[in-house]
Amino acid sequence: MSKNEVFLRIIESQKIINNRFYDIRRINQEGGNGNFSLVFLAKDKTLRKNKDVVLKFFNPTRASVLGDYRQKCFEREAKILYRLKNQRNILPILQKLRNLEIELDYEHNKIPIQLNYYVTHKAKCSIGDYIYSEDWNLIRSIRYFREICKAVQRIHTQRIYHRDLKPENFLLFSYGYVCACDFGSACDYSEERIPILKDQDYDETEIGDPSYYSLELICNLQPSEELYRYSDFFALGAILFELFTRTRLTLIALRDPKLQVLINVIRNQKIYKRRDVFLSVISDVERQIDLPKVRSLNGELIKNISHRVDDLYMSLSRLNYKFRETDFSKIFNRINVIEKLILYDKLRNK
Amino acid sequence: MQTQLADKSIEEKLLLADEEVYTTLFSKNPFYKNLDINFKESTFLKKSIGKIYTTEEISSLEKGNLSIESKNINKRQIYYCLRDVKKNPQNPFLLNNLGLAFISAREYKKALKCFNEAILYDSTFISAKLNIAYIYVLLKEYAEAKKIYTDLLNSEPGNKAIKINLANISLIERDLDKAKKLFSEIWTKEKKNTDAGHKLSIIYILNNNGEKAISTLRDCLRIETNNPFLFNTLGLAFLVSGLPNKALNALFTATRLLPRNNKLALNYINLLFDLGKTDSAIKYAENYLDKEYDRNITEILVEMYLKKDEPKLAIREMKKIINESKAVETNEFEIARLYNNLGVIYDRMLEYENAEKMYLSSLKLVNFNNSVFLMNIIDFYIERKQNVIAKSYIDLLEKSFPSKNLHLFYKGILARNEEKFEEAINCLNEFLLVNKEFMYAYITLSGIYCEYLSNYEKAIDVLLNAPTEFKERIPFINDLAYSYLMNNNLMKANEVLKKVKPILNDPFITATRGLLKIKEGKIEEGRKLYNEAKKIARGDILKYQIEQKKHLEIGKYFIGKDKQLALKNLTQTKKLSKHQTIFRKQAIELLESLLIE
Repeated sequence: MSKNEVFLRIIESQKIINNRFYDIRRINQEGGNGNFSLVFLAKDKTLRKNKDVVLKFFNPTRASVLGDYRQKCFEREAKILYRLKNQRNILPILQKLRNLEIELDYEHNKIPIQLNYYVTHKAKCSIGDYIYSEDWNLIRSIRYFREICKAVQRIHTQRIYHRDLKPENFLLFSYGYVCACDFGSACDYSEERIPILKDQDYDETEIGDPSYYSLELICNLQPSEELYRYSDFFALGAILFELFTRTRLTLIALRDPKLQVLINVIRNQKIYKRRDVFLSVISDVERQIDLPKVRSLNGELIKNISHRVDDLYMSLSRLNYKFRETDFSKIFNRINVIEKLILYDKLRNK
Repeated sequence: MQTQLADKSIEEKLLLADEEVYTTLFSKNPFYKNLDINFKESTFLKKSIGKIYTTEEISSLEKGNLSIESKNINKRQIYYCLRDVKKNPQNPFLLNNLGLAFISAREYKKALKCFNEAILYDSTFISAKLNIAYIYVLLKEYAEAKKIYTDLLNSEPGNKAIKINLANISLIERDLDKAKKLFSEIWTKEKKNTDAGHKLSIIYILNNNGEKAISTLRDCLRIETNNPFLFNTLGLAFLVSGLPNKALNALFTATRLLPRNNKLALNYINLLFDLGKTDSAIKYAENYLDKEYDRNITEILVEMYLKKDEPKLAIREMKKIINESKAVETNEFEIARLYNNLGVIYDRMLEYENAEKMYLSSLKLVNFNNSVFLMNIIDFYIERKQNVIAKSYIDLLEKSFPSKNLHLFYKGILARNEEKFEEAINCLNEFLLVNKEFMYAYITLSGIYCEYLSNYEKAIDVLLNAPTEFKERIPFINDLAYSYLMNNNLMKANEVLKKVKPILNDPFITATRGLLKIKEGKIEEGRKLYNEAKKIARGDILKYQIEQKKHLEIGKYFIGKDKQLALKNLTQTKKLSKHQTIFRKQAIELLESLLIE
């Protein structure tokens, strides 16, 4: 039995947690989707109809990875969620970080262990699940994207940068309400930040799903607030692309050999030099790389819509981060136009 | 035969086939023989940045060797995609994503499996089919890719992406008519698709239709005003249309728009060099190389230094290339090629000892098993009149490459030098039976008929029976025009010479033009052209020969018109060299007959 499984079973065997959560069930065999958490469903006594909630535990088997960095990330996630409590488009947290005391059998000895966990509401599914489901359609996609942008706008105005935006990290609730979650990699610049590890120990690209990484993150430029803000916009563009094509942008766009050369060259620089070098060559590179057009992957889209979607996602996901569209009012305007065009097209077909 | 600078190996050329598929046709015309059309495959990043990236590192990346960082990212992309697929194993879109992740990791077989599985769940899933075709293109299995694209096009006749891909394959396979048809369809329907317009103009250039290429490229440039690659192709289109100065402007703009692109820079330097603006070309190349090292540009710089009679600088650069290559080059042939080229430079500098040393070094590196290197050393010994050593290498050539019959060419030359013309002709004819593509054999054979046997008709006949592709090449044109002139067929000679642009910096063509003028009675113009040819000729021997020929032909012209002038010029021909040359021999014969009269 794996260590993971031992913990999953111990948590599952708990009859009630915090005198409030009962009927604890694991979400799937692995326990959860996260890299460093074990996720369970449970019923909450305090909610109407004893509704299901989600209990997210820090996975102690991953505690040793990157020192205590994972542990800190978990704590940061709970802290940020609690700070953003009751704000629209943010996953509602029901209970802030707490400890569950369990006993682990080790060579016939009982070892007491404290497991960190926090509790959130349960969503219907993630946007990632929606994209690849049969419910997928254009009008929903653009509406969900608007919600996603609202969530990002909300956290950005509070100087929090998510750094791991992807469809899976947006949860879908009833009536098309979308919430951002998984703030494990987020950076909070509004207060003293939890220090990230030094360059020699830590690589930005070792955390999260690289399918939504912007080029500057892959090149591992020197971290800064500006950089993280821009990278979130790149991920927004990639999400929009995926919402309309059901294909991951970076799997197509970043496989160009020229970009492989660029990444290799930049990462071979000293960290403080990387940004200057990156900016000195990126315009030349960008000129030579064509981002894919949504219509080439989704033939159903009419030209009028696809051009606008292309314009929007390409302006969000520009390789040169300095020129990315970061004005949310403009982004919402463009989303509105696209939504209207899709509706018009739908009506016309009817 | 001219000494050859050894070219890159065939294997290397094949690896570059995608980008350089268009170059060979251009070698027809020397103005742009070394230019190649760039799409977007530049290797722009070699320096600017502390560490100098060598061509090999970059090409290895471009050929598919991934860096550790990329491998790590790809591995994790696969992990995440695989996790999604596990959750929902029958979703064609997730399988397609997994396939794409495998493509990024260069795991094509696994990718193919994913795409095929995706099609299994959704037989109408075009993206997966296109991705399968894309893998076949990456694997250079064009027939398979073509089959998929054709099937898809049949079911979706209006799909532009499929058309473009199919047209690209047709272009790579040199099926120009099909490629042209497809690109034209896209371009006429969608004038904003500059990629289609660009490719269409390349096809026009390949078909020598410069005007159409220019107008198409201008349309493209109206949409994409600052695309350097469009300007680069425009430059080539101007060259095809015989407008070298406009071409130069276009290439200059391309280099300004993308200054760090080595291929654009190389094209610009090449053109400057071919237009005789060697100083500007050297300056540009030196400036470029100050910022970043590029082997191709350094090699061209070597040639330019040689032309400017600065052999020391040429050798310095050549040594730089060798040192740079020794550090990174694992291919011994490449080092041998560079040694051979250094030998050629020493040869041209008349530093025969060093030349011989370099030729021998290059041969040792390849175990005396390379025909070009062997031919160079044979040429070297024949020119030095060291026939015994030359013969030993000719034997080696015969032994190492018996099927190629290359030794017969040299046996023919040796026989010619020993005035055994019948044997020489037999050898060369036998050689040509196997080596129909060897232009210099035709030139040597026609030279024997023309210069030694005065059988001009036969000389012309030999050249006219040569493969048609030679008829655009300068040495061949020159020889044909010369044979016509010697046969007093001025009209035909003029017609042939018109194929060559007047600004060409070639001593042979310039001298032949001089001969034409003399035969037309324009002595001063002819004299001037001969003097110009002498000026641009490399090496004293060639300079003497041109001077001799000038006096010989002027002397010949005055025979029967002005005996004194004829005698004066023929005597000068005789005096110019102590060595017995064919021109001196002819002059002595003419002088004797004149004096008898």
